[in-house]
Parts: sequence; structure tokens; C-alpha cells
Amino acid sequence: MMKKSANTGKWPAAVFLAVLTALWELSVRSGWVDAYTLPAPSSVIRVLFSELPGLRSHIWITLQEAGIGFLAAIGFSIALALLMDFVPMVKKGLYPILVLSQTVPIIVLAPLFGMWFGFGMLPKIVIVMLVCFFPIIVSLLDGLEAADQDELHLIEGMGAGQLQQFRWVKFPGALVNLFSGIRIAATYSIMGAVIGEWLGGTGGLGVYMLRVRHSFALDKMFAAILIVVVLSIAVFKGIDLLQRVLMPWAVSKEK
Amino acid sequence: MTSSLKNRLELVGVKKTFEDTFAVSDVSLVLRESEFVSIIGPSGCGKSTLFNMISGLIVEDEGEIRIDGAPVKARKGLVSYMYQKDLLLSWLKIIDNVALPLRVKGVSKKEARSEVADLFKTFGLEGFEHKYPHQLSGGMRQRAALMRTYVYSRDIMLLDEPFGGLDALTKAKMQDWLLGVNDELKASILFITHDIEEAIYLSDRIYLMSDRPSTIKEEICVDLPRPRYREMMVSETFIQLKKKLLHSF
Repeated sequence: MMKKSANTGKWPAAVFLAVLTALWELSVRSGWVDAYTLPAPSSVIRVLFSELPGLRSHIWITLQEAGIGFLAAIGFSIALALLMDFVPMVKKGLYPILVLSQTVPIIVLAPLFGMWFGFGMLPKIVIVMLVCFFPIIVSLLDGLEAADQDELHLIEGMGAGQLQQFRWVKFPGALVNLFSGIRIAATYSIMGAVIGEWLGGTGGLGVYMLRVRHSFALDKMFAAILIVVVLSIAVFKGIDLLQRVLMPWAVSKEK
Repeated sequence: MTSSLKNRLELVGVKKTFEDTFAVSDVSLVLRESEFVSIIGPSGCGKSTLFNMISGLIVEDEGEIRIDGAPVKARKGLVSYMYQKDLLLSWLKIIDNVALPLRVKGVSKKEARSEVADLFKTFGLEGFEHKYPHQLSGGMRQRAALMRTYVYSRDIMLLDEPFGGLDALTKAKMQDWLLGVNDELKASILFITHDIEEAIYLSDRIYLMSDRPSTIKEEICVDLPRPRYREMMVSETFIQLKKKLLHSF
């Protein structure tokens, strides 16, 4: 019953999106909106397919930057969370700085990274890491903190030290939180790479977007946006899948 | 009948103070081999503090806790402790939950699993080895928790109101089940409960604890033969014991 209502829950959004797209298409075709200000969805799709062969290398670059930065952010978050959980002083000292770091606009940082790390993939990877890192570590730390005290007592009574408490109780208990952080970060990862490229680079979807903007090829711009959306959703779904594999107990709970 | 058996666990004049108030003041008790002993008393009388001390989670201020006759300071991992909540880890299959004490000791997953596999029949959980805790009923989870407690230390088990969270019918079933299982296991069990009938029905002896500062007010021997069965609850001896306990409360 629950499952069914969840499925039907997707229909309104799909219908709404279809109606919006149709309205958009109609308003461009009828001449109400000029095609050079806003290209029709049909021409965006057409351009997407004609441009795709040339776009492949850009997509690949963006995906690499996003993927490496994202994975590095996950690894770094887990390592740092572990350290912060083991040494409370580290947490007290670092947590405010973490929050502070998020208030610095990435837009300003990106050109700086260009100066520091050159114009290759590295500065983009660093940006992706920066934007992905925060949601992951914050949710993971929340999860670790919310560990059940009785469960910790239980395993402590079995003679478990700090590392074992982390391995058996704290970390698995915080996996749900970790994944909600990772899911947010996943959608940021592609976007972060594109922003990095946009602000200076030689390849990637951001560079491509910057070029087509300069030539006022808005249909190509929209095609690139569509690719970014599809990639982000694909990463998001991939994380969902991974969660199902890594947390089988939560899957069996749904049934 | 039990006095000839050796003492597994002994508490001598154990005291514990939390911020100027006595949680436990001067408790002495004995648990002998294969004996089932209950502790009953009003809630908040420090029974759980007592268990935390025995299992080594908190340190006593005064007195001595002896295991098999010798005073032991580092008791963590020597006696097993089961709480009212089953505390099965939701991310582990039942078999891995049960094997957890072995895994903590460093046994490999495969070895730990094979070591506990045979117990599932005894504990009536055959076929549920690879389920997750939330797929089991409350009574079954409690059984799994008891099994884990047994795996942890098969000699001395501290059970803190293990059936306190169950409905009356399931509770009765679990009591009978526990009696049956322990006929086989012959573990030494120290059992906390609020329930006078439960204490009489299950125990060889009962310690009655006073309100804070808590001490042992009385020790009562339950002269009911084993194996026990439900009809004994209306026997003369049972009712006399119940009267006596109600009076002392």
C-alpha cells in the first residue's frame, strides 16, 4: 500500500513537467518568445544529439573531476570524522573552522585555485572536494554523535575499546546519516566541477558552456544544462543503489 | 540444596555513591553455581547500578566483588549483562548479533558464526539466523538477546528485567521458555525484576532490596521443586512465599 502511493507520488511531478515543457514549446513556436532568447525544447534536444559526439570529451573531463573530487571528499570526511570522534579536542577546534570555511564564496576561491594549482583538472577537483566535503562530514558527525548510549555500554561491557565501538556501533549506526550527506554532495559534485571549469579551464562542460555563451548559441547552452542535470541525477541514483547494497538491513525494512 | 555448590559470584559490602547520595550502600550477596537468583525491589533502588558494577562498567567505592572466589578489578567481559531493551544491532543479522561478543574478542566472522550456529536450536530461533532484528517479534528478539548474553559469558549472566517490556502473555511464555532453556544450559543467573510472581516462579533464591540507600533487606529461599510449571503458581508454598514478599515490601 505504502509502495503504491509512493509510486503514484511521482506522477503529478511528471505530468506537471510535461505540461510545462509543452507550454514552453508552444510559446516559442507561436512566436510569443523569440527562439534566440529561449530555444524550444525540441531544438534543444535536436542540438543535443548533433553536438553529442563533440561533447563526449567535455563530459568525460567533467565526470572525472567530479568523480575524483567526490570520492576524495568522502574519504577525507570519513577520516576526519573518525579523528574528530576519537579526539574531542580536535572536534572542538575544527568544527567552527569547518563552518567558517563554508561561508567563503566558491566563486571567489576558484580563480585563486587557478593561480595556485594551474588550469588543469586539479583546481576543479579541489573545488568539488570543498563543496562535497561539508555536507558529508556534518551529517556523519551528527550520526556518530547520535549513537545509542545503551548499545555503546553493551559493547563496552563486552570489552570493546574505542576502535571497536566505532566499528560495531557508531559507524554502522551513522551510515544512514552518511548517505544522506553523500546524496546531497553527489548533486553538488557535477555542479562544482562545472563552476570550476567555467571560471577558467581548457576542457569540460563548464568550458563548453562558456564558449557557446560567447557565441550566443543558447540552444547549445541548454543542451549542456540538460546534460548536467542528467549526470547529476545519474550520480544521485547511483548513490541510492550503493546504499541499497551497503545497507541491506534498511532495504528489508522497507518491504 | 545449593549450599554445597561453589560460589560463582560474591559481593561483599559493596558501596557506591553518586554525588553524595548512596546509590548502593552495603550490598552483600552470593550467586552459586547453576543457581537462579532474583533481586527484587522498588524502582530506582540501585539495582541497575549494582549490575553495572558487577559487569565492570562502573567502579565500586568500597567493598569487594569476587568471581570464582577471587577478587577481580577488571571485570569487563567476564560476566554478561542483558538489558530490558534487547539492544540487537539493527545492521547485523541475528547470527552476527549473537556472535558479536566473539567478534569483539577477535574471532573471525566465519568461526564466530559456526560457533554460535548450534545454539539456535536450543534457543528456539532455528531458521532466523539470517534475518535482521526488525523482522523478529519482541519475544524472539529477547531470546536472541539472551542467546548473545549466553555466548558472551556462559557462566555468569546478569539479566536486568529482560521481560519487562513484553506483554503479559509473551512474558509468561518467555518465563517458561527460560526455565526450559536453563535446564539445559545450567548457567548461573542473577535476575532483576519488579514482578514478585516472576521472581518466585523462576528463582532458587530471592534477594529483597530496600529503597535508597539500598541494601539487601531479606533473603528468601524458594522451596519449589524443579522442573517448574505454571500450576505451581497456585500451590500453597508459592502463595505463602508471595504473601511473605508482599509483606516485606
